[in-house]
Amino acid sequence: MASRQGHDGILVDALNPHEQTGATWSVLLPIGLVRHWLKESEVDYQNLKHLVPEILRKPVAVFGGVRVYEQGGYCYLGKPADWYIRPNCLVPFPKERIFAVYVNPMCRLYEIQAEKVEPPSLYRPKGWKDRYEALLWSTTDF
Amino acid sequence: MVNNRLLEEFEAFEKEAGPPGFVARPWYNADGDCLVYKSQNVAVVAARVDDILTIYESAVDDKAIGFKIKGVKHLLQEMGCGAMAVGAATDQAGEIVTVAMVFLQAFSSDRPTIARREGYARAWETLTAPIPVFPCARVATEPA
Repeated sequence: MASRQGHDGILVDALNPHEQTGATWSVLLPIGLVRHWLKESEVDYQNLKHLVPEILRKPVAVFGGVRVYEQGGYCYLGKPADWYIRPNCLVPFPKERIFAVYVNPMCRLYEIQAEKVEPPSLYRPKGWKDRYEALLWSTTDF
Repeated sequence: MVNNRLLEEFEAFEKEAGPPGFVARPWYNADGDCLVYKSQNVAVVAARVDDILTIYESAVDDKAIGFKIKGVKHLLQEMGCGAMAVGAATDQAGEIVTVAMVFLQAFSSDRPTIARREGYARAWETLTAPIPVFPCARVATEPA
């Protein structure tokens, strides 16, 4: 089962970065966040709906330890083919950007955003060495 | 490619929640413990200023259109806030906290370098509406 809707949100299968076997765990899309994006930031909602499940399942990399005032948390990175830059306006995702999906230590998604990459890599977000505590998982070509 | 089951769940949610929209107002994201603001309904590219402030640049024209302030609970504690009032902008027990106050607390948490001053000014200029109240009140006395 790929997802399950409950009172608190929608559960989505995501790669478990602590397992090197490709095993999955569940990430919750909190209902309050999903509702907020639908009603007040439609373009984020469309990217959540159409991009995020694939990035959570097949990220190019996952970093752990993403915040100064909070232990843990995860950053799933992906390179979608397209993304919404305005409501219903789907365009190719830029090569020099990477799409980041942030999940808190309770496995609740809280942020999605494009980020600039750190040249010469097209897969590493700018400042990645100083921003994250550990690279937990990556594809071989990361 | 999103699987059909998940799409159905999103569509069921959309049917229940009603039509989509956009509102330019600061919003506290409890799961991320961050205060976010976007002035335009476009995708953003994040530009970090420091560990606390991130500027949202428009994916359409690269202009600054909003910001994110992280670690809000910590900032509020530094300001002497005892609790957050969910959904309420006032608290009879104390002084109202505004977004401006959270912003200033964030800026004062580190050295006022040129890059930070420019970054905070750039983010602040994206606030097109009157400075809104943050749903929190600074209490006069801490509970025992």
